[in-house]
Amino acid sequence: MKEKKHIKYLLIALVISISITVLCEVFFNRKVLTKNEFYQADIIETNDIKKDGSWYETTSDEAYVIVKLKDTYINKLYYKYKTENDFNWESEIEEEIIGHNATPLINKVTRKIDRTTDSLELKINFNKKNVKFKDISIDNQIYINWSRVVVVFATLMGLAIIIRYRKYFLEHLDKAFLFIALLSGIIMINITPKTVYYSWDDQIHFRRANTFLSSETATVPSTMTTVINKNTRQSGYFQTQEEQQAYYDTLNKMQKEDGWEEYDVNNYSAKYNNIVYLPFQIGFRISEILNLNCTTSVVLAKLLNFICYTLLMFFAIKVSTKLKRVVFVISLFASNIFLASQFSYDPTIIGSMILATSLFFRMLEDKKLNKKYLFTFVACVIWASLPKAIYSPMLLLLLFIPNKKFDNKKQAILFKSITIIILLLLLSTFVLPALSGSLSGDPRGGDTSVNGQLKFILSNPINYAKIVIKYLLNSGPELVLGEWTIICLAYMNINVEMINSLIYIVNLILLMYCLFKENISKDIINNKLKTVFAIIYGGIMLLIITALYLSFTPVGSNSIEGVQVRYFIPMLLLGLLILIPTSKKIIKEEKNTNTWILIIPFISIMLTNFFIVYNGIGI
Amino acid sequence: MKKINHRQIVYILLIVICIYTVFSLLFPKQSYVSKTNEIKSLDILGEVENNDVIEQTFISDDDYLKFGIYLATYTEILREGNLIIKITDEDNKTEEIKVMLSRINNDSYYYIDYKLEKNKKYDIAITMENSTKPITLYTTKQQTKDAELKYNGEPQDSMLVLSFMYEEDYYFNIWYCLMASALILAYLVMTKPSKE
Repeated sequence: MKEKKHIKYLLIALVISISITVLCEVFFNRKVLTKNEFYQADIIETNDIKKDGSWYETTSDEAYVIVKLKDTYINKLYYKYKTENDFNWESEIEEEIIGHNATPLINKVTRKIDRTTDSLELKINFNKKNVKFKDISIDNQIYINWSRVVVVFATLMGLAIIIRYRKYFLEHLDKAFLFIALLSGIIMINITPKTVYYSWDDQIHFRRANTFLSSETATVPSTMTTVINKNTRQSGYFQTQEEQQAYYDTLNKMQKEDGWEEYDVNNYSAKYNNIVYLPFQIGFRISEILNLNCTTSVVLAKLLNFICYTLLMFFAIKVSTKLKRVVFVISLFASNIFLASQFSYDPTIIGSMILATSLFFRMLEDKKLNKKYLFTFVACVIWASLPKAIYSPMLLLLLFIPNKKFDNKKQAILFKSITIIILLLLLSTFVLPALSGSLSGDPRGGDTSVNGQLKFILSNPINYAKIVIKYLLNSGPELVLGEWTIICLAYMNINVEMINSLIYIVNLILLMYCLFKENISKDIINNKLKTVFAIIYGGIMLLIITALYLSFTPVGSNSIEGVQVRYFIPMLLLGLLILIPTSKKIIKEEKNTNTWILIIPFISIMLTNFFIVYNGIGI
Repeated sequence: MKKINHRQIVYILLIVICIYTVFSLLFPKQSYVSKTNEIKSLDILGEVENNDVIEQTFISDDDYLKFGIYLATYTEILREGNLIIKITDEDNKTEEIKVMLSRINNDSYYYIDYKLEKNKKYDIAITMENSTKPITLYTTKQQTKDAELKYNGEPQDSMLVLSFMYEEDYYFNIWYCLMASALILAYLVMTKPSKE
């Protein structure tokens, strides 16, 4: 009987979800519903254009054509072209000019125009000599955007499932996380472009993920250099799904013809910091073995990294007792899910640091020390510290586990001593090269020099302290828990400020609600321990800022460049532990009953997915 | 026969790592190390097209096995053409190296296998052939001793960003060994059976 009820509910939800999804597609196609045609437009005027068989060719930079339209409305403009170099062209309707870019990588244009004109004329300025073109057409067909269909349907169906099974999900937040993260994350991987230049430094991460531990040469997909070299975002190419698909077809054809090739790496430095690219590398190696095409291998590599993030956060929620809700909300920040779906090593760093903090809290709670937790904590901090040694002071937390939790005092002292050795070893990878002057600055920051900046700091310590204090007063709150902590899509920004602010505020309130609803016994976290958390948090914050001042900021600058919010997300849970309410009473654990804990993160991520598609970038 | 327990295996592993540490210390392997001249006011030279000539004179401050120039392709993919690098030393010995432009990546160093000797003066002439797209080279205002850059014969107040590679004893393996040993020791400490 109960089972029947479930099936009935799910069937009704399915029918409603399908209906709303169809209505949504009807709404987005409302302007072409009665038209639904694709027609070739007649050329009525040309300037500096000659005919060459079925192709037309521009003979000067002033070349243009005017075409006659059959209908007053133009949804998309389409034509085929051949060119050796990129060119900027314009579409002009009643003196309103829209600029576009074209590249030889694809040989057809499909641009969204979405304009109405009474003149029934459209002018195309090619602005370039020797461009061949043909088949200028207007696409007023009904277009089903499958990315949008999937996002809308999954949102509605997901919401129905969450509401129906809220009791189970609230009791098992780890499983709720798995459901929400996998559903929204896999969709995000598939709707975001299967290339780079959409997330922070993803072109660098993409290259490193491919070359991995190689020093001299590496076997990489033949399309790698094309993907890295072509900044498709900044150049404004591939603005519609049709153009993106054409680019993918080009890449896949290239990959099929040329396969995998040797690539000059010429980087002989130690590769310990590239180990975090392991999930991506496994994806690429599987792709090589299975001879997968370029876009599938990109999706597979991203998927494996995403799964790693999901597993780390899953265990972080699972081991948490009182912090479950807080960890759940952090793990489902749209910015975290977005980064985890792109080429970035930040998500596994965030995941491992949050897991480490959860494990530490669990070790404080447990009467006897669980050695598995202890070693997993060390492994997590090492994983995060290999690429960014600045996180290694997290190991200091282990020194504050009471000795009585160990088998004996000698064991506690020995283990804590070894922890300090591991910390020093991790810090040495960052401090020693900086002190020896063998670290070079990041040229993206301008006139940078680690050596020069270090000399500046050492000779002007008070001045540097003032710079740091001023910087923290100006940017501190934003770095610790600002809008970009919760909703940041790097270069794929959803560009709707109200939506960004809404997602930020609602998630922030939810996080604060979850945090202040907790009440931890002072036997677990006392004020002394909170001071320790604050010192470690502040120390890591200072290390992050100093690292960026050394490597990314011009020597002697009064500001600090390159500090990004995502560097602070791994420390967020530790920071929140400073604020968590504590009391002397032993407090009974309350049951989670607030369904909004599930709904808000889910809707936030799915809304993000929707706007990625809505902006036309996603495919 | 007495069974070997997991702690004994870990002890053996620790001994192997210790032996390897000593071996790495006594007989380090060689590895390339790059050294890049200090960069001040990073800039680009402008569009370099076919038949443009870039000449860079400099004195090598040490013995190097490779040198690299910092190139950009304006994010374009170069499929056709070659970069020709002529290196002339103090004895007027010239070596010409042809590099397919398709091997050059945007915003990356391209390293050339050419041995440079300490305190010797070198003249590099860079030209491009059969390319349909321009490239550019990065420059720095931080000039080294006797460095001179000419772009189509015109002297410039900067020099090319150059990176050099030399071989050095590689000791980083010891860091890995120390890290592994520390973790193994931590494991042994935590798994030591109590006397009770």
